[in-house]
Amino acid sequence: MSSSREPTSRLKPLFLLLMCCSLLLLSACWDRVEVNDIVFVLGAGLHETEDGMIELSIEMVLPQQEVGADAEADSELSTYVEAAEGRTIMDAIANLQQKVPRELFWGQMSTTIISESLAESGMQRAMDFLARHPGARLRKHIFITQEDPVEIFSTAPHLEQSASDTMKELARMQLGIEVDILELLKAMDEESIDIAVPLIETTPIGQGKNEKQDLQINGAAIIKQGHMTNTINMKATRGVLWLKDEVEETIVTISPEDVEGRLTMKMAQSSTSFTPEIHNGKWRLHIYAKSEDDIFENASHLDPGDPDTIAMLEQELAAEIKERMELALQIIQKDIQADVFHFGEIFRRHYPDQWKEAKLHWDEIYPEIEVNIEVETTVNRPGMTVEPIGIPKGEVEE
Amino acid sequence: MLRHIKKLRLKSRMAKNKQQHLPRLTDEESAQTPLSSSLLHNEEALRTIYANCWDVVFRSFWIAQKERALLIYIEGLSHAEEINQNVLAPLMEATDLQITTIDDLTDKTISVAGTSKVHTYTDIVEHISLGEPVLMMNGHKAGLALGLENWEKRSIEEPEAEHVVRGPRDGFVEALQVNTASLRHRLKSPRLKMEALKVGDYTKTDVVLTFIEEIADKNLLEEARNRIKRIKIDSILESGDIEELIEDHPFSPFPQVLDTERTDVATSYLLEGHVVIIVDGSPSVLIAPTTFYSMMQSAEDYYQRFLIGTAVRWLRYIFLFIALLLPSLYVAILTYHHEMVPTQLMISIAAAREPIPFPALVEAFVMEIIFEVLREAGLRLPKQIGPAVSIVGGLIIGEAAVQAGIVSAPMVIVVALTGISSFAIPRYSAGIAIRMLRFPLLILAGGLGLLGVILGIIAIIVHLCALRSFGVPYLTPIAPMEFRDIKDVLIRAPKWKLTTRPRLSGKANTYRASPHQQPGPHRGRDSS
Amino acid sequence: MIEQGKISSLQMAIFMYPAIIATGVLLIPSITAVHAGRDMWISPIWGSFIGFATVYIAYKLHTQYPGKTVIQYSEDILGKLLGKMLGLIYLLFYLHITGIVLREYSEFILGIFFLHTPIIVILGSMILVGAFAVRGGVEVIARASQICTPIVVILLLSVFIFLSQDLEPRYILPIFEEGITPSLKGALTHQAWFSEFFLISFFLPFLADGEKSLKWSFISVVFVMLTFITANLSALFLFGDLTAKFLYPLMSAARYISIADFIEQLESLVMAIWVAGAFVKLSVFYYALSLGTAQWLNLSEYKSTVFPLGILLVVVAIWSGDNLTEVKETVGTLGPFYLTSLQTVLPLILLLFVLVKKKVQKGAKG
Repeated sequence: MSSSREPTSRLKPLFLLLMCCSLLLLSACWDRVEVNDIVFVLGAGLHETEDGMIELSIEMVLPQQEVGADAEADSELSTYVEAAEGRTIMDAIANLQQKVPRELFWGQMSTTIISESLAESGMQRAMDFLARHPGARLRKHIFITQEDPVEIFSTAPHLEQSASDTMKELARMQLGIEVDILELLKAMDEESIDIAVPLIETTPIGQGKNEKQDLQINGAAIIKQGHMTNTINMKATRGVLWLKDEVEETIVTISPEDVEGRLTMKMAQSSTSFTPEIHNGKWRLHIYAKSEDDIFENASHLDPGDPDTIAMLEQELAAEIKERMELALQIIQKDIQADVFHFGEIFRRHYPDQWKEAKLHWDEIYPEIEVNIEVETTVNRPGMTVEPIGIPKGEVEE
Repeated sequence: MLRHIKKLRLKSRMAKNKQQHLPRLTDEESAQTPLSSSLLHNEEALRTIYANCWDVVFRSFWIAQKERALLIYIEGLSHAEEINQNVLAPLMEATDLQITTIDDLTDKTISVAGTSKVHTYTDIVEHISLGEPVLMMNGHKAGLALGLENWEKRSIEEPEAEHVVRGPRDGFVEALQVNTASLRHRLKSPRLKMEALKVGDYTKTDVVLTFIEEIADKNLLEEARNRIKRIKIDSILESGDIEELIEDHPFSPFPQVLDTERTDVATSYLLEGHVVIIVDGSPSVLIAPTTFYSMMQSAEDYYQRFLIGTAVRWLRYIFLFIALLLPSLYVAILTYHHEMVPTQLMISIAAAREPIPFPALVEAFVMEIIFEVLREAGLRLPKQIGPAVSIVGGLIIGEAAVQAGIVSAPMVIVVALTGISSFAIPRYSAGIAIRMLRFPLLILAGGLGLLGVILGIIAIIVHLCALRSFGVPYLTPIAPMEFRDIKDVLIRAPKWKLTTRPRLSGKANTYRASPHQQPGPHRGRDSS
Repeated sequence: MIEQGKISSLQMAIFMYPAIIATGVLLIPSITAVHAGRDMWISPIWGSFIGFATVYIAYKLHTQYPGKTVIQYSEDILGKLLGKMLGLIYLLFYLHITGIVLREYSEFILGIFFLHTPIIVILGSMILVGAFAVRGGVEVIARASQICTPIVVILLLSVFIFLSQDLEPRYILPIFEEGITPSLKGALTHQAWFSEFFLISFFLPFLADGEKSLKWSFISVVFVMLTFITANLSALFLFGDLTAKFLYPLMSAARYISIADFIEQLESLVMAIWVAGAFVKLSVFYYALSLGTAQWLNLSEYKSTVFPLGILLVVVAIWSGDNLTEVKETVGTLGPFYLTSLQTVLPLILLLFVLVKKKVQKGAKG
């Protein structure tokens, strides 16, 4: 079929390809950036100074390698912290860039810290930038700090390689809340939704000479309609996790009545489901939480091998979890009146028609919602040992 | 306009001249004439043809001391001992011979198996060139060609380029007869047909078109025959010469004819309806048509368990991509898409690249070229020196270059990995095509990053889709899709499932095994 | 015949699939989300009706004039002058649409990956590869898309699968929050894409198994619909009401993927989907355009039209809008009416005209 073609016409694409290749070689440098010319930004902090300027601080890593045989000393990264001010974030970046001889590369950034001052005056300025920037990633973690972001970045991490890494790993442990940019954007977009963002702070660790500053997550900041209004402590934060159905790994310690000592359980699995109900203009929400736990530590005289004991423990555990949730509800629903749990969403899904009206005065309805919590727990495994260790046989309570 | 016409005229004149200067197809046109009955005359004519050929022996003698006879052969091409024992001795020592026609000699005196009668000088020259001594007698207008050729052949060895762990070790050799014999030995059916053609004015190379009647498609045969017959050339030295003259797309880097030195491979392709072209003097035979996927197959896929055969095949497909793409992806990511690699890895790479003064593209290009040179040098050097070169080149230079901060260690890893992957492609000719295509892709990666690489791949795919080998689309059975034949491409189906022949060339005789032959613990007992 | 190659109905269905979804899957979710909100996944179902209708009309016209493309039979239907004019309208239309497709493709590449590269380089490199395929003929396009389409599908699926752990199906409720209207409004964009199925009228004459063409085209429409539903659903489940705010929801979604800290930042996957899909789409449109031009000009072969049209396409692509906002505006507002009226309504009128004409002739004979 093709043999009828002239040989010259077959050469044409070849020539064209060659021409294009050489063209590329001639002018191929529009977007080309060699690795040697960039510096990786690992984390960025945004802070509003007293005179209304934005201070941008970054933690960056400069890849360095010992040239030579003993490359063992290369285990630690050398990170640097740099900061600059500007009227807008872009302005601050430009000012920052002037201080750094290499191009700042944002694509590998893993965490963003927003200082309390900026969060209080409005998250809008920060968020729009974080969403619009082409290097922006929606999965990046976001934290709020009551300190200066520079201080956070200046801590010397001793397990992870950088402060940003430490924060990322801390968030991932899921003992506290994990919030990424996408979640924050969703919350900012919908007026009826509020959000709790983890609070990060420095904390001294190590003893005596070795004392260093490291980081920890301590509670959460409540962002209500784009502004930070309150903070809650760690205990309330755990309750929030339960109410958001986001608990993945948590430890509950109970001390049953008329029993000496405590038991600690580790949760294996949990789920929380919500059933909304509007009855005679009364907004009600039934929360049903289910949890499966293992006994991890038994400092009491109870014998977990006994079914009755287990039943008793299950009840105790349920009460403890319920208490946590109620505490969180009390603080957030009644006192702060922020819809961190997306109750509005739940009602919207089931009562779209009522929602349309309620949406407009949701801040009035929300604190009045009647919440019933029901918790069911199962203690699955009593750990590796059945009877408590180190207690004489006779003393074990049946 | 006028100039244009002049040009055209010039062209046509040149074309005419060309025709006149075409090489003379038969050098012995004058010798086309039949033999005369005078032996003296014949000898004179032949001596003129073979003037200045000291290796041609003219041996005159008397048959039974009555008739003059002449034996002509080429030193070294014919079996001298056999000539003495079976031709000269019985003829010269005979006492009463009744010779009316020359056939009487073969019937009664000469104890040689293969003989044929020759009538013209051309015939004689041809047979002598093949190593068959020609006997002529005074008074007879015909001569006798005796099948006593004795060409020193290489013994059958395992092909160097196509090793297997399990499987037959015999390969083809340079001698045509040995090759056809080993095919015949494997395929004992008279359906195996071999058509001999001669190509090359000077070399007169035998080219044998081998196929299995009923399985090979008639149109394909016709096409192959015509393409070989069309060749007008002075010499054919290797099957590669034929390959270049009969392929469909001469400008493609991809081989459109498969070459193999393994007899079992050639046999299996014959059984799938392909045509095998054997060229005298070359140990590699040509298989046509071929597809891209047969470049990715090795004979051993079929000798090992089918699960392993399938796994190995997929491994090859993966390594094909690594061989083609790894360096360009590395360059693209390093110069355009720094965010696509996990942070830790990116920082390690960046740290390794920190002291390197060259752009990544240049570094990659230089390293790839050095690798190709090493490969080529290792290939051409005497066997004793080859390994030394690769040690010096690969290990010492590589290590020193990294130490000196001229090349980065990740780049060395990328180049080495690419090199190894390209050797995982079982066909040398396909592997080299892939290796060469790496370079344009590298340039594209340096110029447009990932976009360039993707566009490059698409261009290669389009090119592959446009290719045909003897009319069969190169990417059959994937594009165009033949569901039935995928079982031998994406996987290596077990033997008892490979019941049909691939449809690419033979339409007739599609079944090659009866179905329902899956073995199992009870299968043996069923039949009893 | 200008084109000697023959393809199968399956092959046609295979290249029509990316020819529709390639640009759609990235652009449509956010356009639909603006109108349809949480019902955006229903819109493709409404839109697909136009797809089925267009395929049926194209098929019916083909059975009336087998072996001819729309450029050729419009002359038979309307007479020489009117037919030529209609042919010209179609050619200009496809020139414009192909230019816009090309522009959409390069805007995406420029906006996400190559901020500083001149647009002409991106346009030119794509047109070059496309021209390479178009010159190869219908068979090469069919085969190349047989390789590219599975790649596109596998990559798309892997994006959805990798995303699955982050998806929150609760966003599907409430269904029909505002009644049926929003989803119908959202379908307006979808039906514009579905009407592009009229392109099969350029390929129907080259089918080796024409009797299966209707079946396979319908299957293709169904798969396009399913893909749109999946894309819209995954955007909805990930972003919720925020979908409308993103320019390329699928791209943002792919960037969101993170599995085991290693499989992350998969924009390269989306780029491969986009480029491979856009390549098939472009070469199908480009081929139809080249073939149509050659037929309109009564040329003996179409290959000589390929490169001139390529240059023209680059020009049209640059001229089709000053910036991304303008191009998106054109696609979002004008597109639905522009595309459907020429690719569905006009052929329907043609078909009715033919049927009436036939009936009148029959009546006259009888």
